[in-house]
Amino acid sequence: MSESRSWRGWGVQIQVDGPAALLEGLAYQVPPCGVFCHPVDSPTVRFEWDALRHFWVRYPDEECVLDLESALALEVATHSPQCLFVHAGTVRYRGRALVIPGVSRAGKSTLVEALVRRGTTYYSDEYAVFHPDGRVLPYPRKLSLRATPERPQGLSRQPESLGWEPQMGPIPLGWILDCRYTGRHDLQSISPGESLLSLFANAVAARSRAKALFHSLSKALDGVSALRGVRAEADDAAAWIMDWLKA
Amino acid sequence: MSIPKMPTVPIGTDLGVNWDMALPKRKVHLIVEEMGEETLVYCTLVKKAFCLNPVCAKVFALCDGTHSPAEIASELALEENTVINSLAVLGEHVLLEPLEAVKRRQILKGGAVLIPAVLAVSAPEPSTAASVPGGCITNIQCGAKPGFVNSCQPCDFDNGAVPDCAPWPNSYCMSAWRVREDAAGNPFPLDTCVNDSQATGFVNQCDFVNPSNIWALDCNAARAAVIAAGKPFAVYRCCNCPGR
Repeated sequence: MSESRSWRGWGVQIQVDGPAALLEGLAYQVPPCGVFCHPVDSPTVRFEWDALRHFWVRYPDEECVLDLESALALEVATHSPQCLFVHAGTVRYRGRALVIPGVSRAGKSTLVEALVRRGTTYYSDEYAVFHPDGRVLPYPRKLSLRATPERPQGLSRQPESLGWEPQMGPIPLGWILDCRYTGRHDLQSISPGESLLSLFANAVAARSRAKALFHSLSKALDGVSALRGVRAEADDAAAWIMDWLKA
Repeated sequence: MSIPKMPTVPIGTDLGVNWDMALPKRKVHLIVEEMGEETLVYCTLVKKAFCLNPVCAKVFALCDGTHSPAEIASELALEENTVINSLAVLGEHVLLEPLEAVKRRQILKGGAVLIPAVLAVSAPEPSTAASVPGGCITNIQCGAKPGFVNSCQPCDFDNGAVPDCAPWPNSYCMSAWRVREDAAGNPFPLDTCVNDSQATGFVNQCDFVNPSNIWALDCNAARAAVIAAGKPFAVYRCCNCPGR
Protein backbone atom coordinates (compact mmCIF):
# COMPACT_ATOMS: atom_id res chain seq x y z
CA MET A 1 0.00 0.00 0.00
CA SER A 2 1.36 3.39 -0.97
CA GLU A 3 1.87 6.06 1.65
CA SER A 4 3.48 9.46 1.88
CA ARG A 5 6.10 10.94 4.16
CA SER A 6 7.16 14.56 4.23
CA TRP A 7 10.48 15.87 5.44
CA ARG A 8 11.78 19.39 5.78
CA GLY A 9 15.34 20.60 6.12
CA TRP A 10 17.76 23.14 4.67
CA GLY A 11 14.83 25.11 3.32
CA VAL A 12 13.66 22.18 1.21
CA GLN A 13 10.51 20.14 1.67
CA ILE A 14 10.56 16.64 0.29
CA GLN A 15 7.66 14.28 -0.10
CA VAL A 16 8.26 10.62 -0.71
CA ASP A 17 5.42 8.47 -1.94
CA GLY A 18 5.88 4.76 -1.95
CA PRO A 19 5.19 1.45 -0.32
CA ALA A 20 4.89 1.54 3.44
CA ALA A 21 7.72 -0.96 3.75
CA LEU A 22 10.07 1.38 1.93
CA LEU A 23 9.04 4.40 3.92
CA GLU A 24 9.69 2.64 7.21
CA GLY A 25 13.39 3.06 6.63
CA LEU A 26 13.20 6.64 5.45
CA ALA A 27 14.33 8.04 8.78
CA TYR A 28 17.76 6.55 8.14
CA GLN A 29 18.01 8.00 4.67
CA VAL A 30 17.02 11.63 4.93
CA PRO A 31 19.81 14.20 5.17
CA PRO A 32 20.90 15.47 8.57
CA CYS A 33 19.44 18.52 10.25
CA GLY A 34 15.84 18.11 9.15
CA VAL A 35 12.54 16.91 10.56
CA PHE A 36 9.58 14.93 9.38
CA CYS A 37 6.61 17.19 9.01
CA HIS A 38 3.08 17.49 7.78
CA PRO A 39 2.72 17.38 4.02
CA VAL A 40 2.26 20.57 2.06
CA ASP A 41 0.51 21.12 -1.25
CA SER A 42 3.66 21.99 -3.14
CA PRO A 43 6.76 20.26 -1.83
CA THR A 44 10.06 21.40 -3.27
CA VAL A 45 10.80 17.89 -4.44
CA ARG A 46 8.53 14.91 -4.74
CA PHE A 47 9.76 11.37 -5.08
CA GLU A 48 7.07 9.22 -6.51
CA TRP A 49 6.90 5.52 -6.85
CA ASP A 50 7.81 5.56 -10.51
CA ALA A 51 11.03 7.36 -9.76
CA LEU A 52 11.80 5.15 -6.81
CA ARG A 53 10.88 1.94 -8.44
CA HIS A 54 14.30 1.11 -9.75
CA PHE A 55 15.79 1.56 -6.31
CA TRP A 56 13.24 -0.81 -4.96
CA VAL A 57 13.53 -3.33 -7.71
CA ARG A 58 17.26 -3.49 -7.54
CA TYR A 59 17.69 -3.45 -3.82
CA PRO A 60 14.62 -4.95 -2.26
CA ASP A 61 16.05 -4.78 1.23
CA GLU A 62 18.32 -2.53 3.19
CA GLU A 63 20.47 -1.70 0.21
CA CYS A 64 17.85 0.40 -1.45
CA VAL A 65 18.53 3.02 1.16
CA LEU A 66 21.93 3.73 -0.30
CA ASP A 67 20.71 5.16 -3.53
CA LEU A 68 17.74 6.84 -1.97
CA GLU A 69 19.89 8.46 0.68
CA SER A 70 22.19 9.94 -1.93
CA ALA A 71 19.32 11.00 -4.12
CA LEU A 72 17.65 12.80 -1.24
CA ALA A 73 20.89 14.52 -0.27
CA LEU A 74 21.45 15.68 -3.82
CA GLU A 75 17.95 17.13 -4.07
CA VAL A 76 18.45 19.04 -0.86
CA ALA A 77 21.85 20.30 -1.98
CA THR A 78 20.44 21.37 -5.31
CA HIS A 79 17.31 23.09 -4.07
CA SER A 80 18.34 24.64 -0.79
CA PRO A 81 17.34 28.27 -1.24
CA GLN A 82 19.98 29.80 0.97
CA CYS A 83 22.78 27.43 1.77
CA LEU A 84 25.39 26.54 -0.81
CA PHE A 85 26.57 22.96 -0.93
CA VAL A 86 30.09 22.11 -2.01
CA HIS A 87 31.10 18.51 -2.38
CA ALA A 88 33.77 18.35 0.28
CA GLY A 89 34.87 16.87 3.54
CA THR A 90 34.93 19.25 6.49
CA VAL A 91 36.51 19.19 9.91
CA ARG A 92 36.66 21.78 12.63
CA TYR A 93 39.89 22.85 14.29
CA ARG A 94 40.30 25.67 16.80
CA GLY A 95 36.94 27.09 15.87
CA ARG A 96 37.54 27.23 12.13
CA ALA A 97 36.73 24.91 9.28
CA LEU A 98 39.11 22.98 7.10
CA VAL A 99 37.31 22.22 3.86
CA ILE A 100 38.58 19.48 1.55
CA PRO A 101 36.75 19.76 -1.79
CA GLY A 102 36.85 16.93 -4.24
CA VAL A 103 34.96 14.53 -6.39
CA SER A 104 33.91 11.10 -5.26
CA ARG A 105 36.81 8.81 -4.51
CA ALA A 106 39.34 11.59 -4.22
CA GLY A 107 39.93 10.31 -0.70
CA LYS A 108 38.02 12.94 1.24
CA SER A 109 36.33 10.67 3.74
CA THR A 110 39.50 8.75 4.43
CA LEU A 111 41.39 11.96 5.08
CA VAL A 112 38.59 13.34 7.23
CA GLU A 113 38.62 10.21 9.36
CA ALA A 114 42.40 10.42 9.75
CA LEU A 115 42.19 14.09 10.71
CA VAL A 116 39.51 13.37 13.30
CA ARG A 117 41.79 10.78 14.86
CA ARG A 118 44.42 13.52 15.19
CA GLY A 119 42.23 15.91 17.07
CA THR A 120 39.92 17.71 14.68
CA THR A 121 36.15 17.54 14.98
CA TYR A 122 33.98 15.98 12.34
CA TYR A 123 31.66 18.28 10.40
CA SER A 124 30.98 16.33 7.22
CA ASP A 125 32.42 13.87 4.77
CA GLU A 126 30.05 14.78 1.97
CA TYR A 127 29.22 18.47 1.81
CA ALA A 128 30.71 21.68 3.07
CA VAL A 129 27.61 23.79 3.51
CA PHE A 130 28.17 27.53 3.20
CA HIS A 131 25.81 29.98 4.80
CA PRO A 132 25.26 33.10 2.65
CA ASP A 133 27.47 35.02 5.09
CA GLY A 134 30.35 32.71 4.22
CA ARG A 135 30.44 30.60 7.37
CA VAL A 136 30.51 26.82 7.19
CA LEU A 137 27.69 24.74 8.65
CA PRO A 138 28.00 21.16 9.84
CA TYR A 139 26.42 18.48 7.70
CA PRO A 140 26.62 15.67 10.20
CA ARG A 141 25.69 12.60 8.28
CA LYS A 142 27.42 9.40 9.26
CA LEU A 143 30.97 9.06 7.99
CA SER A 144 31.30 6.20 5.53
CA LEU A 145 34.51 4.70 4.29
CA ARG A 146 34.44 2.35 1.38
CA ALA A 147 35.67 -1.17 1.71
CA THR A 148 39.30 -1.91 1.02
CA PRO A 149 41.27 -5.12 1.14
CA GLU A 150 42.47 -4.11 4.61
CA ARG A 151 38.99 -3.07 5.71
CA PRO A 152 36.67 -5.43 3.86
CA GLN A 153 33.51 -4.27 5.54
CA GLY A 154 34.18 -0.59 5.12
CA LEU A 155 33.58 1.75 8.02
CA SER A 156 30.53 3.64 9.15
CA ARG A 157 30.61 5.94 12.14
CA GLN A 158 28.02 8.21 13.61
CA PRO A 159 29.02 11.88 13.80
CA GLU A 160 28.64 11.91 17.57
CA SER A 161 31.41 9.36 17.83
CA LEU A 162 33.68 11.69 15.86
CA GLY A 163 33.37 14.67 18.14
CA TRP A 164 30.42 16.38 16.53
CA GLU A 165 27.87 17.78 18.96
CA PRO A 166 24.38 19.01 18.10
CA GLN A 167 25.02 22.48 19.43
CA MET A 168 27.87 23.05 16.99
CA GLY A 169 26.89 25.75 14.56
CA PRO A 170 28.39 27.73 11.71
CA ILE A 171 32.08 28.55 11.90
CA PRO A 172 34.38 30.66 9.75
CA LEU A 173 36.37 29.01 7.04
CA GLY A 174 40.03 28.65 7.96
CA TRP A 175 41.65 26.45 5.37
CA ILE A 176 41.08 24.93 1.96
CA LEU A 177 42.84 21.75 0.97
CA ASP A 178 42.21 20.81 -2.65
CA CYS A 179 44.00 17.53 -3.01
CA ARG A 180 43.59 13.99 -4.15
CA TYR A 181 45.30 10.83 -3.11
CA THR A 182 48.11 9.60 -5.32
CA GLY A 183 50.55 8.24 -2.78
CA ARG A 184 53.06 11.05 -3.00
CA HIS A 185 52.99 14.40 -1.29
CA ASP A 186 53.08 17.66 -3.23
CA LEU A 187 50.94 20.54 -2.01
CA GLN A 188 51.38 24.12 -3.14
CA SER A 189 49.90 27.34 -1.87
CA ILE A 190 47.20 28.86 -4.06
CA SER A 191 45.66 32.32 -4.25
CA PRO A 192 42.22 33.23 -2.92
CA GLY A 193 40.84 33.31 -6.44
CA GLU A 194 42.19 29.88 -7.20
CA SER A 195 40.77 28.66 -3.90
CA LEU A 196 37.37 29.92 -4.90
CA LEU A 197 37.63 28.05 -8.18
CA SER A 198 38.47 24.89 -6.26
CA LEU A 199 35.24 25.23 -4.30
CA PHE A 200 33.23 26.35 -7.31
CA ALA A 201 34.33 23.35 -9.33
CA ASN A 202 32.75 21.12 -6.70
CA ALA A 203 29.66 23.18 -5.95
CA VAL A 204 26.35 21.46 -6.51
CA ALA A 205 24.58 24.59 -7.71
CA ALA A 206 27.50 26.01 -9.68
CA ARG A 207 25.45 26.43 -12.81
CA SER A 208 22.28 27.75 -11.31
CA ARG A 209 23.65 29.93 -8.51
CA ALA A 210 27.04 31.11 -9.70
CA LYS A 211 26.50 34.66 -8.53
CA ALA A 212 25.54 33.60 -5.00
CA LEU A 213 28.48 31.23 -4.90
CA PHE A 214 30.94 33.91 -5.94
CA HIS A 215 29.50 36.29 -3.39
CA SER A 216 29.40 33.93 -0.44
CA LEU A 217 32.64 32.15 -1.16
CA SER A 218 34.58 35.36 -1.69
CA LYS A 219 33.46 36.42 1.79
CA ALA A 220 34.26 33.01 3.19
CA LEU A 221 37.76 33.03 1.76
CA ASP A 222 38.87 36.25 3.39
CA GLY A 223 42.10 35.45 5.22
CA VAL A 224 41.98 31.75 4.42
CA SER A 225 45.05 29.61 3.75
CA ALA A 226 44.77 27.22 0.84
CA LEU A 227 46.79 24.42 -0.70
CA ARG A 228 46.35 22.35 -3.79
CA GLY A 229 48.06 19.23 -5.02
CA VAL A 230 48.37 15.56 -4.27
CA ARG A 231 48.75 13.77 -0.99
CA ALA A 232 50.29 10.67 0.48
CA GLU A 233 48.57 8.03 2.59
CA ALA A 234 45.90 9.46 4.85
CA ASP A 235 47.79 9.02 8.10
CA ASP A 236 50.95 10.63 6.80
CA ALA A 237 49.01 13.38 5.11
CA ALA A 238 46.97 14.04 8.23
CA ALA A 239 50.13 14.47 10.31
CA TRP A 240 51.45 16.98 7.82
CA ILE A 241 48.13 18.78 7.62
CA MET A 242 47.91 19.09 11.39
CA ASP A 243 51.27 20.85 11.41
CA TRP A 244 49.95 23.15 8.73
CA LEU A 245 46.82 23.93 10.72
CA LYS A 246 48.84 24.66 13.84
CA ALA A 247 51.22 26.98 12.02
CA MET B 1 36.98 18.09 -9.92
CA SER B 2 40.66 18.82 -10.21
CA ILE B 3 41.80 22.29 -11.09
CA PRO B 4 44.51 22.81 -13.66
CA LYS B 5 47.57 24.79 -12.79
CA MET B 6 47.70 28.40 -13.80
CA PRO B 7 48.73 28.25 -17.43
CA THR B 8 51.91 29.61 -18.84
CA VAL B 9 50.95 32.41 -21.10
CA PRO B 10 52.60 32.89 -24.45
CA ILE B 11 53.77 36.44 -24.44
CA GLY B 12 52.95 38.42 -27.50
CA THR B 13 49.98 36.45 -28.74
CA ASP B 14 48.87 37.83 -32.04
CA LEU B 15 45.17 37.52 -32.64
CA GLY B 16 45.24 39.38 -35.91
CA VAL B 17 43.90 42.49 -34.29
CA ASN B 18 44.92 46.05 -34.92
CA TRP B 19 45.22 46.94 -31.28
CA ASP B 20 45.68 50.61 -32.05
CA MET B 21 42.07 50.75 -33.21
CA ALA B 22 40.59 48.28 -30.76
CA LEU B 23 38.17 49.24 -28.01
CA PRO B 24 37.93 46.00 -26.06
CA LYS B 25 34.66 45.31 -24.36
CA ARG B 26 33.54 42.58 -21.98
CA LYS B 27 31.01 40.11 -23.20
CA VAL B 28 27.56 40.12 -21.77
CA HIS B 29 26.37 37.02 -19.90
CA LEU B 30 29.24 37.34 -17.47
CA ILE B 31 28.98 37.28 -13.70
CA VAL B 32 31.91 39.16 -12.22
CA GLU B 33 33.19 39.20 -8.66
CA GLU B 34 36.27 41.08 -7.62
CA MET B 35 38.27 39.35 -4.96
CA GLY B 36 41.24 41.31 -3.74
CA GLU B 37 43.55 41.79 -6.68
CA GLU B 38 42.00 38.90 -8.58
CA THR B 39 38.69 38.78 -10.41
CA LEU B 40 36.35 35.82 -10.72
CA VAL B 41 34.23 35.59 -13.84
CA TYR B 42 31.50 33.11 -14.68
CA CYS B 43 30.21 32.86 -18.23
CA THR B 44 26.61 31.68 -18.24
CA LEU B 45 26.86 30.65 -21.87
CA VAL B 46 29.84 28.34 -21.75
CA LYS B 47 29.25 27.52 -18.06
CA LYS B 48 32.83 28.09 -17.09
CA ALA B 49 34.38 30.02 -14.24
CA PHE B 50 37.59 31.97 -14.63
CA CYS B 51 40.08 33.40 -12.22
CA LEU B 52 41.90 36.41 -13.64
CA ASN B 53 45.24 37.11 -12.06
CA PRO B 54 45.91 40.68 -10.92
CA VAL B 55 47.27 41.87 -14.26
CA CYS B 56 44.39 40.48 -16.26
CA ALA B 57 41.91 41.64 -13.65
CA LYS B 58 43.04 45.25 -13.90
CA VAL B 59 42.91 45.22 -17.67
CA PHE B 60 39.56 43.42 -17.70
CA ALA B 61 38.08 46.07 -15.43
CA LEU B 62 38.73 48.70 -18.09
CA CYS B 63 37.35 46.67 -20.98
CA ASP B 64 34.22 48.75 -21.24
CA GLY B 65 34.28 49.54 -24.93
CA THR B 66 35.60 53.05 -24.42
CA HIS B 67 39.26 52.49 -23.62
CA SER B 68 41.89 51.65 -26.19
CA PRO B 69 44.83 49.49 -25.15
CA ALA B 70 47.02 52.55 -25.01
CA GLU B 71 44.56 54.28 -22.73
CA ILE B 72 44.30 51.21 -20.51
CA ALA B 73 48.07 51.03 -20.33
CA SER B 74 48.29 54.67 -19.45
CA GLU B 75 45.61 54.45 -16.79
CA LEU B 76 47.13 51.37 -15.18
CA ALA B 77 50.72 52.48 -15.64
CA LEU B 78 51.48 49.27 -17.52
CA GLU B 79 53.46 48.63 -20.65
CA GLU B 80 51.18 48.62 -23.64
CA ASN B 81 52.42 45.20 -24.62
CA THR B 82 51.39 43.87 -21.23
CA VAL B 83 47.91 45.22 -21.80
CA ILE B 84 47.71 43.74 -25.28
CA ASN B 85 48.94 40.40 -24.03
CA SER B 86 46.27 40.49 -21.34
CA LEU B 87 43.63 41.27 -23.94
CA ALA B 88 44.88 38.36 -26.00
CA VAL B 89 44.55 36.02 -23.04
CA LEU B 90 41.09 37.33 -22.20
CA GLY B 91 40.11 37.00 -25.83
CA GLU B 92 41.30 33.43 -25.96
CA HIS B 93 38.91 32.62 -23.14
CA VAL B 94 36.11 34.41 -24.98
CA LEU B 95 35.59 36.93 -22.22
CA LEU B 96 35.71 39.87 -24.64
CA GLU B 97 33.58 40.76 -27.59
CA PRO B 98 35.38 39.89 -30.81
CA LEU B 99 37.67 42.61 -31.98
CA GLU B 100 37.63 43.46 -35.63
CA ALA B 101 40.77 42.23 -37.25
CA VAL B 102 42.08 45.01 -39.44
CA LYS B 103 45.62 44.01 -40.04
CA ARG B 104 48.08 41.64 -38.58
CA ARG B 105 50.72 42.92 -36.32
CA GLN B 106 54.10 41.68 -35.31
CA ILE B 107 54.12 39.34 -32.38
CA LEU B 108 54.52 41.54 -29.41
CA LYS B 109 57.64 41.61 -27.35
CA GLY B 110 57.98 42.78 -23.82
CA GLY B 111 55.51 42.77 -21.02
CA ALA B 112 57.12 39.65 -19.69
CA VAL B 113 57.56 40.95 -16.19
CA LEU B 114 53.82 41.08 -15.59
CA ILE B 115 52.36 37.92 -16.95
CA PRO B 116 48.65 37.92 -17.56
CA ALA B 117 46.94 34.65 -16.83
CA VAL B 118 43.48 33.18 -16.64
CA LEU B 119 42.54 29.96 -14.90
CA ALA B 120 39.35 28.28 -16.03
CA VAL B 121 37.16 25.48 -14.70
CA SER B 122 33.85 24.12 -15.90
CA ALA B 123 30.85 24.42 -13.64
CA PRO B 124 29.81 20.88 -12.77
CA GLU B 125 26.38 19.42 -13.20
CA PRO B 126 24.74 18.97 -9.80
CA SER B 127 25.04 15.21 -9.93
CA THR B 128 28.73 15.48 -10.78
CA ALA B 129 29.42 17.37 -7.61
CA ALA B 130 28.09 14.70 -5.33
CA SER B 131 28.66 11.14 -4.24
CA VAL B 132 25.58 9.92 -5.98
CA PRO B 133 25.84 6.30 -6.92
CA GLY B 134 27.29 6.16 -10.35
CA GLY B 135 29.30 3.23 -11.44
CA CYS B 136 29.30 0.43 -8.95
CA ILE B 137 28.76 1.96 -5.59
CA THR B 138 28.36 -1.42 -4.17
CA ASN B 139 30.73 -1.60 -1.27
CA ILE B 140 28.19 -2.27 1.37
CA GLN B 141 25.90 -4.00 -1.04
CA CYS B 142 28.52 -6.59 -1.84
CA GLY B 143 29.65 -6.98 1.71
CA ALA B 144 26.16 -7.37 2.97
CA LYS B 145 25.17 -10.17 0.68
CA PRO B 146 26.06 -13.81 1.15
CA GLY B 147 28.16 -14.91 -1.73
CA PHE B 148 29.50 -11.50 -2.50
CA VAL B 149 33.16 -11.10 -1.89
CA ASN B 150 33.47 -7.41 -1.90
CA SER B 151 32.82 -4.30 -3.79
CA CYS B 152 33.90 -3.24 -7.17
CA GLN B 153 35.34 0.14 -7.75
CA PRO B 154 33.58 2.40 -10.23
CA CYS B 155 33.03 0.85 -13.59
CA ASP B 156 35.21 3.21 -15.48
CA PHE B 157 35.78 0.78 -18.26
CA ASP B 158 33.38 -0.76 -20.64
CA ASN B 159 35.11 -4.05 -20.87
CA GLY B 160 37.51 -6.27 -19.12
CA ALA B 161 39.11 -6.16 -15.74
CA VAL B 162 39.24 -2.94 -13.88
CA PRO B 163 42.50 -2.25 -12.08
CA ASP B 164 40.73 -0.99 -9.02
CA CYS B 165 38.95 -4.30 -8.66
CA ALA B 166 42.13 -6.27 -8.80
CA PRO B 167 42.62 -6.47 -5.03
CA TRP B 168 39.38 -8.38 -4.76
CA PRO B 169 39.56 -11.81 -6.31
CA ASN B 170 36.75 -12.60 -8.64
CA SER B 171 35.49 -9.07 -8.70
CA TYR B 172 35.49 -7.29 -11.96
CA CYS B 173 33.58 -4.89 -14.08
CA MET B 174 32.52 -5.46 -17.60
CA SER B 175 29.95 -4.45 -20.07
CA ALA B 176 26.33 -5.32 -19.97
CA TRP B 177 24.11 -5.08 -22.91
CA ARG B 178 20.70 -3.71 -23.17
CA VAL B 179 18.25 -4.68 -25.82
CA ARG B 180 16.80 -1.45 -27.00
CA GLU B 181 14.48 -2.89 -29.56
CA ASP B 182 13.55 -6.21 -30.93
CA ALA B 183 14.30 -7.45 -34.41
CA ALA B 184 11.20 -5.70 -35.73
CA GLY B 185 12.33 -2.41 -34.28
CA ASN B 186 9.80 -2.32 -31.49
CA PRO B 187 11.16 -0.88 -28.27
CA PHE B 188 11.62 -3.29 -25.44
CA PRO B 189 9.91 -2.35 -22.26
CA LEU B 190 12.13 -0.88 -19.61
CA ASP B 191 13.34 -3.31 -17.04
CA THR B 192 13.37 -6.14 -19.50
CA CYS B 193 16.62 -7.81 -18.75
CA VAL B 194 18.72 -9.21 -21.50
CA ASN B 195 18.59 -12.52 -19.83
CA ASP B 196 16.94 -12.67 -16.48
CA SER B 197 18.15 -16.16 -15.79
CA GLN B 198 21.68 -14.86 -15.70
CA ALA B 199 20.95 -13.18 -12.47
CA THR B 200 19.48 -16.08 -10.59
CA GLY B 201 20.59 -16.07 -7.03
CA PHE B 202 21.99 -12.62 -7.16
CA VAL B 203 20.80 -9.45 -5.67
CA ASN B 204 19.80 -8.14 -8.93
CA GLN B 205 19.71 -8.29 -12.59
CA CYS B 206 20.26 -5.89 -15.35
CA ASP B 207 18.92 -2.50 -14.63
CA PHE B 208 18.09 -0.28 -17.51
CA VAL B 209 16.79 2.67 -15.62
CA ASN B 210 20.12 3.65 -14.23
CA PRO B 211 22.54 2.30 -16.77
CA SER B 212 25.64 2.79 -14.71
CA ASN B 213 24.36 0.53 -11.99
CA ILE B 214 23.75 -2.74 -13.68
CA TRP B 215 24.20 -6.01 -11.95
CA ALA B 216 24.32 -9.36 -13.62
CA LEU B 217 25.82 -12.69 -12.91
CA ASP B 218 27.55 -12.99 -16.21
CA CYS B 219 27.42 -10.09 -18.55
CA ASN B 220 29.44 -11.87 -21.17
CA ALA B 221 26.77 -14.51 -21.40
CA ALA B 222 24.11 -11.86 -21.50
CA ARG B 223 25.91 -10.11 -24.29
CA ALA B 224 26.38 -13.35 -26.18
CA ALA B 225 22.68 -14.02 -25.91
CA VAL B 226 21.90 -10.67 -27.41
CA ILE B 227 24.31 -11.15 -30.23
CA ALA B 228 23.07 -14.67 -30.91
CA ALA B 229 19.54 -13.37 -31.11
CA GLY B 230 20.64 -10.88 -33.72
CA LYS B 231 19.16 -8.04 -31.79
CA PRO B 232 20.43 -4.49 -31.75
CA PHE B 233 21.96 -3.49 -28.50
CA ALA B 234 23.67 -0.70 -26.70
CA VAL B 235 26.56 -0.93 -24.32
CA TYR B 236 25.81 -0.38 -20.71
CA ARG B 237 28.09 -0.94 -17.81
CA CYS B 238 27.87 -3.80 -15.48
CA CYS B 239 29.52 -4.41 -12.20
CA ASN B 240 29.97 -7.99 -11.32
CA CYS B 241 31.02 -8.69 -7.79
CA PRO B 242 30.10 -12.26 -6.98
CA GLY B 243 32.57 -14.45 -5.19
CA ARG B 244 32.87 -17.36 -7.47
